[in-house]
Amino acid sequence: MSARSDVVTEPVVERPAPKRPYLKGRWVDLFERVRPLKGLLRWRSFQFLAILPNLFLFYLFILAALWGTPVGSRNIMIVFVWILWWFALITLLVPLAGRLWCTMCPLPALGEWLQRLRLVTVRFAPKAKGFKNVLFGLNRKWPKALDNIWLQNFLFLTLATFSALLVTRPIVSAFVLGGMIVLALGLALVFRHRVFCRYLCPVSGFLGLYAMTSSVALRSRDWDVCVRCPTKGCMLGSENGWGCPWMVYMGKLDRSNYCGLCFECLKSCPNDNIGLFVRPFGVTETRILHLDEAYKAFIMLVLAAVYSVTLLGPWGTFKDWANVTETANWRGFLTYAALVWGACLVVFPTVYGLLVKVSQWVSRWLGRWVLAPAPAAANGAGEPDFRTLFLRFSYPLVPLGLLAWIAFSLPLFFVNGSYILSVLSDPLGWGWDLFGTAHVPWKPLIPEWVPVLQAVVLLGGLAVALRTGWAIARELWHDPRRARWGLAPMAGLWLTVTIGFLWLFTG
Amino acid sequence: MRWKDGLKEGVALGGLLLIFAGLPWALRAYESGRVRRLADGRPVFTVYANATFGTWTTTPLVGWTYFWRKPEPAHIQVRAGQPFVLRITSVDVHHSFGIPQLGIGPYDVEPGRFLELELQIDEPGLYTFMCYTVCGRHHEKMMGTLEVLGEGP
Ligand code: SF4
Ligand code: SF4
Ligand code: SF4
Ligand SMILES: [Cu+2]
Repeated sequence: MSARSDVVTEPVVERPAPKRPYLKGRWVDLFERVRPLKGLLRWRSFQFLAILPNLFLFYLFILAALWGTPVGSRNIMIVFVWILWWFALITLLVPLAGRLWCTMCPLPALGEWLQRLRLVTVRFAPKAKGFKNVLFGLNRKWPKALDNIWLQNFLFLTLATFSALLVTRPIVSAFVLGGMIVLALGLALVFRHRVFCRYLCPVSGFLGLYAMTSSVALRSRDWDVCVRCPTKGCMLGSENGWGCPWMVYMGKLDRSNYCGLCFECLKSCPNDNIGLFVRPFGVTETRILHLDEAYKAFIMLVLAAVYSVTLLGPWGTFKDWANVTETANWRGFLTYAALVWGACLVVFPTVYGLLVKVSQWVSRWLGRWVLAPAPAAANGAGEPDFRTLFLRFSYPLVPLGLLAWIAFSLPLFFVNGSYILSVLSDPLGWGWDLFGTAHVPWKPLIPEWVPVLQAVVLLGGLAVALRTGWAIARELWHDPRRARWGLAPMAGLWLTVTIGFLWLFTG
Repeated sequence: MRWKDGLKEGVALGGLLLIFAGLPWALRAYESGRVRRLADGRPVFTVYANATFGTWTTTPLVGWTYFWRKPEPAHIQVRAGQPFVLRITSVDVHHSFGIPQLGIGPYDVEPGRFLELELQIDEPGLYTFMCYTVCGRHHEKMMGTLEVLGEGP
């Protein structure tokens, strides 16, 4: 320890700072803070053991749907999947840990295990070209034209249209879950890796989109190391881990959308170059890159509104339409379906697109006439084009939508929470009383606080939307005055949406 | 495969198979044990109330049968003086069970819950049980029969 540099005996090697373009603001590398966590996630049996309890539960759900009572509120399938699981997913798992559900999801597991012909170990083929693990099946490549989340968008909308059946009839839920398992299994035998998860799983689209906000993200710790890495084990596999089942290349990854947090790359990277980073909620990863993702954001936001109207709002008929089984009113149902699809795919995107146009006009007009024209801006060069604006400004709808979903789910959970206790003791509605809670009376929890919580959540969403919106506007227009004007129409939309939800929830 | 890996795979596969085979078995076993204890040597009849058809039925109406099986109206036979157990549940809405001729009930029958009645009827005859709450369009039709046979062979 000397202040004089000439006494230093060892030459100070200038190590370049790790290249982490995804790092903005405050980040913490969890693996450095919590050492045992890395060991745990590196443990080859970890994912299998995380899936196993969920496999047990989902198997129980399906058995309960087949053999148990058809009464939804007394069947574990409905109560655990649509009240408990949904609530935990949307309020905790997604905002805190993004796709962590996909780590332990049992639905694609059978297919993946069959593909690998292994449960906890790795098959390694060092001489193979490309992928270094052998996978069972036809190993086809997924068609390029479907390399997007449009299919997921449509499947999700389809399920959402029938949600009234789904959340009241155990057998319908069983068919959907069972169908997903079978489809994932079949696709695993035809295509390489988890194509079901990447391209078809209806839950995946929104998990991926909302994972952008999550407080935890798995990333390469230094992109420069990846550039020099000869094996690319994270993507191609190694003797310690499978090649990324989600077809993600860590060396370029800066968004959480399509990383399923299986932690294989943590095992297969020979350079110990994977970090698990904790970051502030919702503000660091704000790039929506494709139209399918933007539409996912629209769909989710509109559906949150539709459900708030049908399930919580005062409009009874709308409710009836959604609920065909009870009323057998097919014409009403078709109207409802058409309204929902139209609102998600046409009306909202059009309104949004018009506002983007307005935003473009306002900032351009101001640039021409009011503000001193910057040299580049004078002839329109350097102006963000419509497509860029459309995509970039759809991100704030992500935190806004997620928090609207949380606000929507709060009363469902607090109102129906007591079903969880009773169904725990009598999972199939067979008259059991395993833990003495079968006859807990139905009682809404803290009903007087729910609207307050909802309002707080919604305003939080608005705050994140405005904050990220401002950051995006600053990136799009370098002049802050023009950014402010360009942002205004968008901010108006977010404000209107928030007020709309506030009005729906607190009436 | 190294033997150690093989062992790991074996254990994991064992766990998996245990779940797949064990869970349905455990559910069934627990249920039949419970019903056996409840029966205590007596015959047990399970009756499902269904508002869509307006029936009390002994046709099992569970998740996967509920949608396509047409429930037959219940016809229960017991011997006079023989104790028996009725387990009554509803597969849809709130119903109410009673046998007016015998002064039994009315008892609430809640969806997805079981009402368990321990009965013994000494007088042979044909009794009708019915629903005491207006449970739907077919409420009037909700009738089942309890036939109490005389003693002897
Ligand atoms: S994408 Fe869907 S099926 Fe795949 S792991 Fe995630 S939730 Fe499960
Ligand atoms: S294996 Fe590791 S170092 Fe190599 S590209 Fe993947 S993450 Fe980077
Ligand atoms: S990048 Fe791929 S291998 Fe790594 S955790 Fe994500 S999905 Fe798994
Ligand atoms: Cu009735």
